[in-house]
Amino acid sequence: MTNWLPRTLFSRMLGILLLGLILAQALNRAIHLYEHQKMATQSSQIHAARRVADLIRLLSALNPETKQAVVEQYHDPSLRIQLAKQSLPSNRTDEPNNPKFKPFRSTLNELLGDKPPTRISISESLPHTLLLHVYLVDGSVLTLKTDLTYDDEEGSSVLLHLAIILSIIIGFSFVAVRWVTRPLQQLASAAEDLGNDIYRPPLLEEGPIEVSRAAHAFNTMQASLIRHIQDRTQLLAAISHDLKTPITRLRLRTELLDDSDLRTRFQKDLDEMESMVMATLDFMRGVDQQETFQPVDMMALLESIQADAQEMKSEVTIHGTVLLPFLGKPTALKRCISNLIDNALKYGHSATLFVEDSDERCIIRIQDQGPGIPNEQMENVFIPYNRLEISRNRDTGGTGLGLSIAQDIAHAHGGDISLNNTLTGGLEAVLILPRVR
Amino acid sequence: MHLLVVDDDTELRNLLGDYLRKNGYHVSLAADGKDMRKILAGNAIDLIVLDLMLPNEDGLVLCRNLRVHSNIPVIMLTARGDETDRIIGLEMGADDYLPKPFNPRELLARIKSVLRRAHALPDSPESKGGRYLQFAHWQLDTVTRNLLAKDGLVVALSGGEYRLLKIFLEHGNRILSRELLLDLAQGKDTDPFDRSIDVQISRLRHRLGDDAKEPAIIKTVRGEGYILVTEVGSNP
Repeated sequence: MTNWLPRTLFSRMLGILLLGLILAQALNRAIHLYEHQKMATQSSQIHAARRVADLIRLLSALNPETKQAVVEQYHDPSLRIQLAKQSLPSNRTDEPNNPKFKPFRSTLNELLGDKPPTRISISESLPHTLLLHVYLVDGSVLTLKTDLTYDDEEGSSVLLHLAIILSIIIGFSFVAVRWVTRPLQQLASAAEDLGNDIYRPPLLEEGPIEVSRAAHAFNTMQASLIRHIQDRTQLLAAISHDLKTPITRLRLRTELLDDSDLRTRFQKDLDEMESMVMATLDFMRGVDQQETFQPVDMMALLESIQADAQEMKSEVTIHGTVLLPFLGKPTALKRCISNLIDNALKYGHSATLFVEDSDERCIIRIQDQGPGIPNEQMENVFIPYNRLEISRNRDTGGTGLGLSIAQDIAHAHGGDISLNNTLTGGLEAVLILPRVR
Repeated sequence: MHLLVVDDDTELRNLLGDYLRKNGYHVSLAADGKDMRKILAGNAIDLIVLDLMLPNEDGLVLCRNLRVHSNIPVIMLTARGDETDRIIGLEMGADDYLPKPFNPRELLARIKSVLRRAHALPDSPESKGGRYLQFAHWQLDTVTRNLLAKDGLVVALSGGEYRLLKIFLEHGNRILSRELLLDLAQGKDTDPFDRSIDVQISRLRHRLGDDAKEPAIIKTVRGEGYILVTEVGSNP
């Protein structure tokens, strides 16, 4: 599309509507003006013809001396008259077929009767100025110049009239187009919301038929998306769930082994299996829909994670503070921040937290001392089950779900997690949690 | 010590039996509620390891019926591991709850701790059977392990803080020695020079908004230990 076209449907519709209405209005005006002008021309020609006919009839009954006096009396700016004794050479010829003067000529012929006292030649000297040479019976020549102009309508009142009509049209179009395009906007924002929350309430199927059908189609699509996700989730959850009992049995068998070396190796494999099963179930369960938003003491939350880490002999430092309670899902938030801190401890040996708080949002930065992540892999780490084995220690394992779960929780709070490498090396995870009002 | 394992999975039941016997317990096995009642009638059982999912009568029903006439400690096993199970399990009067797949050593630790608690300090009756423990101006949610303030503010607790607070709430108005607290809360052997309990107590007081100089919830008893001095109630 060319870029000078308006981008929104609203402005396009408004543009089309206004253009059409203004064109129609202008055409209407032009036709009206043309008709008006035609009428005005006709009437001014008839008027002029009457005056000329009167004069000719009067002059033909008078003697030459009186003629001159009458001519002088009749002379005025709209009818300029000259009387000459004999015919003057004229470069203008009669234009008997000029349709422009048809009203004038026919009126004059009618008024002078079937035997005109004279020969008349009519021509146009200037636009809208009629030049007449009347050859009277006594041989003298009467030259008349008359303006066929008429009073125009007052320009300013026309403009005012037009402005009022246009503003009514614009105002009405604005409201009408907004009314028509609003359901589309609702549809668009619903589609945007769907990206964040697949379980958003369905759209109202109302409005014009086209729109309500689109809303219906949208709702059907959402329902089948949910069904699809649920089927997949249930399948994966069922598999993971069914693995729990065999893993428990294996654990017991392992404990009953006499070979302690073999036992340790079995235990390590089982630990890995178990953490995969548990993380999968965790991830599949998703952010608990049942958990309600509650005011959470963020510092207590961070410090409880810190204390738990200390019990495992891990170092977590916290800088900054959150003063006001944060409205969120407490268990989910704890899991989200724990996952980020666990990652920092696992791959980066320590976790340093920088907390910023404002009316709009809480920002928690979690920095570690590890090797960081190559920039081109930054986005991949959020993909479920994706592990960066190349850059990271293979022994640390992990399920590749921790960040995905944390990101899901951040999104459920309208927030986001981003990763970047710090200048001093090491990775920084930035958790942004907007405050809801 | 005589334990009873109730699980319908034959393999798992026998393995549990072998494992617990190997660790010095006398163990009886039952596949369902009928077997369980038979064994309970003829033996003095100290603790029951009860699977939640059982044919006919499930673990919750068995636990509730048991509580009517008996105080035998129960550890509930479940494969579901979601919170509703934990809530219901605790409400039905189970003493502890372990989700599958569990580490056998963890089960052993829980058995020891429940037995020790049952013998050393019989639980105060009001602390059993509710999800929320109410004290001072707080409620402890035993499912999410968070503190709830009167105005609804959620205050998270670390694992250690939670265990310590729960012990106090289950044994209100009783002096608890450092050794006992260390033993119950951390499962550590007694060490008279270990001050970690004091550090934990001061952190817990800070969480509860309790002034360390004039504590109103957990008081220090010089030379003896600590005591919870508020009334404790429980809510479902």
